[in-house]
Amino acid sequence: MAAPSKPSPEVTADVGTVGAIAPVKLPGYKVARSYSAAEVGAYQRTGGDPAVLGYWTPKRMEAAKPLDAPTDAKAVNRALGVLTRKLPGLVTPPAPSTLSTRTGASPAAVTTLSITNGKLFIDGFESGSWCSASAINTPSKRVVVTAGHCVHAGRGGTWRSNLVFVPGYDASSSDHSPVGVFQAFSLRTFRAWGEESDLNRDVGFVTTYNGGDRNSTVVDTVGGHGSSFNGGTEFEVSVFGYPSNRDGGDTMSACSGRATDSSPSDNISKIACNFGPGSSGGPWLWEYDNSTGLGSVRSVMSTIDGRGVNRGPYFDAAVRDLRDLADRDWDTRQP
Amino acid sequence: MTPRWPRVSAWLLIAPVLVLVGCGLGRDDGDSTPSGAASTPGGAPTLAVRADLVDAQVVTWRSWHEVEKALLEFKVSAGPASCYGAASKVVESDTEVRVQLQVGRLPEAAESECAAIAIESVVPVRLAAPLGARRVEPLT
Repeated sequence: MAAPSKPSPEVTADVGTVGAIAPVKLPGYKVARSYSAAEVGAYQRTGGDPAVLGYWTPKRMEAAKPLDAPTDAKAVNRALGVLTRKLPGLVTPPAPSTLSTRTGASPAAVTTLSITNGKLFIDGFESGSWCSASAINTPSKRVVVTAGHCVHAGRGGTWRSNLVFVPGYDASSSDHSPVGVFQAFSLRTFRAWGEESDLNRDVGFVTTYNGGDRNSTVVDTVGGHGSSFNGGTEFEVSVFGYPSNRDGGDTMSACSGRATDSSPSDNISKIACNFGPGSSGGPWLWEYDNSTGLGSVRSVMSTIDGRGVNRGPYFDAAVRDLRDLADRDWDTRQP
Repeated sequence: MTPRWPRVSAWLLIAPVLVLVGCGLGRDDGDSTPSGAASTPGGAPTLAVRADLVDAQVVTWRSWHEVEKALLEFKVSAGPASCYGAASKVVESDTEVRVQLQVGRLPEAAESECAAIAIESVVPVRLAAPLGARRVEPLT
């Protein structure tokens, strides 16, 4: 008889969280830029700040000069018209939707990759720094879940800047961002991660502006996974992400199997996927449905060890509470 | 003009680094450099260049710039500099410098848990001769 799973810890109180408006740093500036209420309104209508959504090549970075903030939506629209390159025909219908049916490209249990998952760029679209992430279903339809270290560098560090979520990112296709990009509005993680780099609390949430080719919320564009809490550390899982040791992180990868308890001394699950740098924050989905491309997020990718074993934090009620705070950020954190 | 054989320098700099085994779990980027990992003024961490990397893989470099006449810096995506290092192979001719980079685990971090984030990092590459007007190309 198999050993019973460890009791599911219920944590609802005294778990501190930290949050911030997502920092935006422009070339030539040493400090994060802050948006006015008018700018937030303009970016909400037009799909984000072009300074963040644009691709900053080294040459562009070197040539860039500090800009005055756009003062109206027309200015943002003009800039976006230069920077975006989407065709209406490439827009993917609202959720639930699937990206492709590349059967055989993924482990047997996953036959369809989900466009609800994507790449989370740090320092702007197609920079050399990234994590993975996925949209989750919440009332605001704006929340993306990832690892805590993808939104905050941890003990002694600061918030990550210029985050953009790209659902279904695929650098092997002509259009790398099949439904567009979503700029971060605000960031959330646990105090235990931000101040102590506690891997038990390596969870982060990103609340996003309207964006994408439809200029809508992320969940209205690509659907949203469910979330599962207090379910134990051992479960059948499908893991998604953009590990750089597979295809350079240019395309989405998947791995399936049984997540097991990492150690009696922590609240962490593990599975040997050998997902390397860039896979952080990718969803660990329970009950993933190949036909809908949706599942229930029960952990996120956190670490990899030297034997290719990946680990992710246990989702307890405190994670639910953190998610709910992130979900309310759009209404409560407006400048 | 007499053809000149390409000079294969396979330059591998053994940098003196102090890496904390078991880190790579927090401070890992330009805002917060881990112990032992240098950071460029622009913020990107510098990977230790080592010949003893574990499970090294060839990676694509994104860009480069000239630091000194015979010293280039390349940008690559890699894991935290506390866990990962780099190695380079350089083939130089009169007209071009071809560079291949590898990224792998530092031996002292081979058994450690490392944050699975990809971070734009810098790899220094020393040339046998000043770059001059020569082109810099990937070595495949």
